[in-house]
Amino acid sequence: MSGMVGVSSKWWFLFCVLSVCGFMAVAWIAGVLSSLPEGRSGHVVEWQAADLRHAPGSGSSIPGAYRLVLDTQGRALLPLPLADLSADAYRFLTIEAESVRSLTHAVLLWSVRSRHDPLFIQQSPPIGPLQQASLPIYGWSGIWLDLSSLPEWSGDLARVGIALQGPPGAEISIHQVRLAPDTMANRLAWFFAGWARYDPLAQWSINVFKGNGIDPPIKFRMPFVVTFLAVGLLLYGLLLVSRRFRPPFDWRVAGGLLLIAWFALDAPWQWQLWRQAMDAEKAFAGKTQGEKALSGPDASIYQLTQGVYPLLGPPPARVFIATSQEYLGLRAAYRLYPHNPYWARGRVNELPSANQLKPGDFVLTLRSTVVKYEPESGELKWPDDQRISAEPLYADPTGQLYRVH
Amino acid sequence: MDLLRISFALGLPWLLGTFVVHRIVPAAMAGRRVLVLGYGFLVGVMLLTLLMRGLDAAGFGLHLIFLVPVVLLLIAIGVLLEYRYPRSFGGVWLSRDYRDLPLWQKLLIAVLLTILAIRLGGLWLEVYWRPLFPWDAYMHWATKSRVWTDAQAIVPFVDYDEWLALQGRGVFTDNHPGYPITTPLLQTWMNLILGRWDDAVMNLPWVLVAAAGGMAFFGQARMAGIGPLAALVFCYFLLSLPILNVQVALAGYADVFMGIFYLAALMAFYHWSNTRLFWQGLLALLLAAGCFLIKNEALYWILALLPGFAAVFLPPRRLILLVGFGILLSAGVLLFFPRDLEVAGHTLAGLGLQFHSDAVLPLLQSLFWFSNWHLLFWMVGFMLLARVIIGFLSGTRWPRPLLALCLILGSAFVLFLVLFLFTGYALTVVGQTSVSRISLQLAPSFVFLAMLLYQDLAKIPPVALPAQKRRTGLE
Repeated sequence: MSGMVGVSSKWWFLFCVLSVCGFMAVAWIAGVLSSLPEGRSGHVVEWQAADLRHAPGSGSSIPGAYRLVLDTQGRALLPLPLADLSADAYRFLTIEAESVRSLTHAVLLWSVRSRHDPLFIQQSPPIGPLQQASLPIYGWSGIWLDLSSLPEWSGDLARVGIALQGPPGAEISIHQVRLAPDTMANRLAWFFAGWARYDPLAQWSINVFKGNGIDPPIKFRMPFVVTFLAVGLLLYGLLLVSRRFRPPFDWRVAGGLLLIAWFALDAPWQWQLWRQAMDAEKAFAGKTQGEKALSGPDASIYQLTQGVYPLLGPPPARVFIATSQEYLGLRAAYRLYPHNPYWARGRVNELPSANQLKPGDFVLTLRSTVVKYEPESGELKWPDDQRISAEPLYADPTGQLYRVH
Repeated sequence: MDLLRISFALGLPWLLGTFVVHRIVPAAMAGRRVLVLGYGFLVGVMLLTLLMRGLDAAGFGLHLIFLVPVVLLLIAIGVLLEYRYPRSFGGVWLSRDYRDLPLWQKLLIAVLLTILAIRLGGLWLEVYWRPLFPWDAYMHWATKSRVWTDAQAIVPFVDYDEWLALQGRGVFTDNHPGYPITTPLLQTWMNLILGRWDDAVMNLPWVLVAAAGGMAFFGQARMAGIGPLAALVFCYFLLSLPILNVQVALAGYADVFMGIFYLAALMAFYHWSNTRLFWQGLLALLLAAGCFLIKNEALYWILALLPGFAAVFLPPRRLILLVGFGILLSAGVLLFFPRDLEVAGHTLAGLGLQFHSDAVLPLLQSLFWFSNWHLLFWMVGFMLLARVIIGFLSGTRWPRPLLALCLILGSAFVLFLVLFLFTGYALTVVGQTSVSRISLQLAPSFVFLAMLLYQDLAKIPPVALPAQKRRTGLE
């Protein structure tokens, strides 16, 4: 007994025990510890690179992988050779592959054999309709699909394949495809695989970081981490007040639990940042300002402003921007500086009154819904009976430039 | 060639600020180097942009031929002062504090430093490669820099109607012409030194402000007597906050500057209130003044310092009276202040004061459920609660400087809640847009508070619980 008390007073021992308890609590909540009622305990089926062939797209075997190249329409299909497999025996489909992030979409395709029903003379076709399910391709540890969430994944498998979509000519190297049963180890691996999810930076990214994982099993990471921490600290608190053990309070125990919890949230975030940096390198590294603009989301706006620039003369020319689309308006205004753009955000009529525009001014319409040019009269017209004489100077799919007379 | 220009552009204001802070901070103290470097960058940015305003107001515009010699002259004065009155930059590189650490702590320090280096390095690359991206940066921050870089002068920006009235002569317009101009000036400086407009490279100061904030934080933590490992752990907490990281990665907004400047001011204020050291008070004043140059919200956050001042000087009873008076005064302002009078960019009429219950849940999600701040607010909430309970049970009083800091951040947080639960800005909470950006202006300071609470809790003797007392009695 005194030995147990002695060990339990070692902070590192307590830290390890409490961490394990915390992980167990998280695993239980995640459902990792509970097996499916119907059980899916088939033997693992693996398709290695040598087993794989392709349909649309082209492919070839390379050492340790099968390299698939998307066709001119950006598609590829990988049928998986089957031999008497029952869908109900497997819970997970896993794919280990490289360059998956270049894909825009991937689906699992399958159909099952129809069962012979003695009640009916006319039987259904031997093979059922083709089913499909999206594959979560944005994780950090391969692709894991929980087949138990698919009601149609049941019966004797007739056909199974993986369809990929992405940029034409993109190359994906597939190392292994597996159908795996419902075991504790697979559930833990699935949980780990779903812990991080890559969401490319978008306009809203500067406002919020939700900490999503791949759902299922993880919609938000925070509840799991808080559970880990709460269980660990609660048990520590109980030990501190217990009559039997009563270890001395040690900040290293509580601090260690906090640090693990923080790392658990920070690791996927660091992975996301690093992956984002790689995407930024691919899109922008080594390019000039103009080339970067053409590689980014503003390519069309940049091309338009490059087209109109020579027509504006030396800066600062007054350019009135007419659009109801905020994104177009603010981006075009930015790109027109150091000319003198006027784009009044939120103004219903898109342009001020006609008497505010002077000869020599320019009007740039960007998919405007209210400002129209009448070639017969040579006038720009907009609501409240506003009109002004103008000549068209430039047009492209994004916008048109006019000079006011 | 670009590398040289970038080094020059970033290094000159940093060097200038470092010399200034080096003169202010006395020699020989733990963490001096990082403290001087951290505060040096912030002070350097302030001084540089003030110089730019001054030269432009004096008619010299923003021409490098005038600007660079003035900066170099000031640096030369710093060098001369150092020559005449030498002062040690720092003590030994690895003090006894580090050498005596157990191996596992040294390993953990190495791991944390590696993580921070990877984080900041990755952010540097992201900013270096990615052209200007976020919405507001395009709409009203970088717009000014674009014009000023071309004109090599601070050309005025006015609102839309004034632009029309003036027919655009000598003025420009964007969505927020009245915003403080420090960050656009910093971008302008970068472009002027580069010799071209580059809306990626001009944002590199955003990475440095995060690094400088971390350095200042570490230095002030060591000044507070926090051990090197604990100081680095909290520094890691600060620099790993996702919203802080994303505001650096998608650079162009001023919120991260505001958050770091406010943190720096608050840390210096805390130490001044604890030690009455003149130089800490001076740093607090400088950085607090700098906050006004960054964003309009500075007025509210600096006003929140007033309860902290009161807590430093007043006895508890008078403090409670003053807090009560403050609440009454706030109520009076809300009831009787002119509705159309603009303060820090807002009017009472424009704010539309009423309780928005639909914003409560999204606000809690933003602080506790999403990973915007990792576990920061859970940690602060738990530690505050623990301090209150343990303090009550053990009869331990709150140290005045810590109480002052809690009052400051508590007041700031109340203002934050009023803004997002009682005004039209509640919409931005529901949509999860500006709530995190405004939180970023305060969140770094909460990391500092968490660290001080940890230090204070660690000092409290073990609480005598009833079960222990009975056992003692039986024995």
